[in-house]
Amino acid sequence: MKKLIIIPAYNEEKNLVSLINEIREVPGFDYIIINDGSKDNTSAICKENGYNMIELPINLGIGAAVQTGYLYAMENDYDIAIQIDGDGQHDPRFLNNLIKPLIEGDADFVIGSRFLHKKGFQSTSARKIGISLLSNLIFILTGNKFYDITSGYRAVNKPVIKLFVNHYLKDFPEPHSIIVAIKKGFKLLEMPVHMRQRMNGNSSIHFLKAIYYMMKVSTSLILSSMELKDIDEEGKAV
Amino acid sequence: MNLTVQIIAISMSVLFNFFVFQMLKKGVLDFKYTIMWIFSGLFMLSASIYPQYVSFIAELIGISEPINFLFFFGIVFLLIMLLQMTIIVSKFKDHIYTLTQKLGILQKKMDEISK
Repeated sequence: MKKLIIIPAYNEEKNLVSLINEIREVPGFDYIIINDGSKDNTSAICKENGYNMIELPINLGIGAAVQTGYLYAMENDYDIAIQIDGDGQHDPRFLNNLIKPLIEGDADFVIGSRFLHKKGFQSTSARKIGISLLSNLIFILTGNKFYDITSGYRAVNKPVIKLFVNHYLKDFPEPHSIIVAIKKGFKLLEMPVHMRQRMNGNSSIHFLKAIYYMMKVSTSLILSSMELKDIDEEGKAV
Repeated sequence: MNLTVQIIAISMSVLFNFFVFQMLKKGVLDFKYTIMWIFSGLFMLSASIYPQYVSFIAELIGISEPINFLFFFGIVFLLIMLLQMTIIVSKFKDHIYTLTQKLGILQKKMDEISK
């Protein structure tokens, strides 16, 4: 079984080396770094160390960067693709736990959740409120309850890789992709993982932007849950 | 309509049409996206030459002041054009994203071959 780790990286020169070292300690996984038009030395560090990297000439944002990884996974015939953030907040020691349901056929799409065992970094309380609101919104829209819906630590099988190449939404990829996958009839599962506080650098979502972000995400989630009914009519073949 | 106003309106319409056709000729504007501007330019020209028709249509749909009729439909027209522009920009953004992704992957393949 071919397994690919997709690492979106935007200005992660300080975090990448330790992340790749950690990933190499877990055998059986290939990885690809998607350098999303970084302005720092991310590209130079990857070349110096001979890391497997795709370099995007302009900054497309996390959604499109990750989608590049799924495209690469599809073109190279990978069976499983796992997303890990380039900032080092996702602990690669949980890789095998995460993909277990995929290998055993229990799920098509596994979300690594920091809230299930409540261990590791639990995020700030303000952000937790936001996540729980969005989680409830997704429950209302789809009838499925997932807790860590903004988690970027996730694993999918081949059919979902194909779905994400065609339908991955670029604006709010994490919660969006959950709705897309549910609406397409895929089986989703949440698995406990531990997360860490970002090693270096700042998170891409700042506190002050949170309320605006919430409004945008909610609107776009509601819209996408409606719009997908049309996609379904085209038949299930993606 | 006051003759001075009419002369100003006609010369503005002529100027507008002239610029649209110039840009079309130079290839600055794509014909596909210019057709609406050509139509609106021709409408402006005919409305300023024959203002009585504007009054007639305005009265027909119950707008007492012809100028209000023009304002209203002018704004509606601009809204449609703006929406159209947003659609086009979104489409282009999508295309650029896809091209960038493919370019990144191709570049990687190239680097691997030349190693």
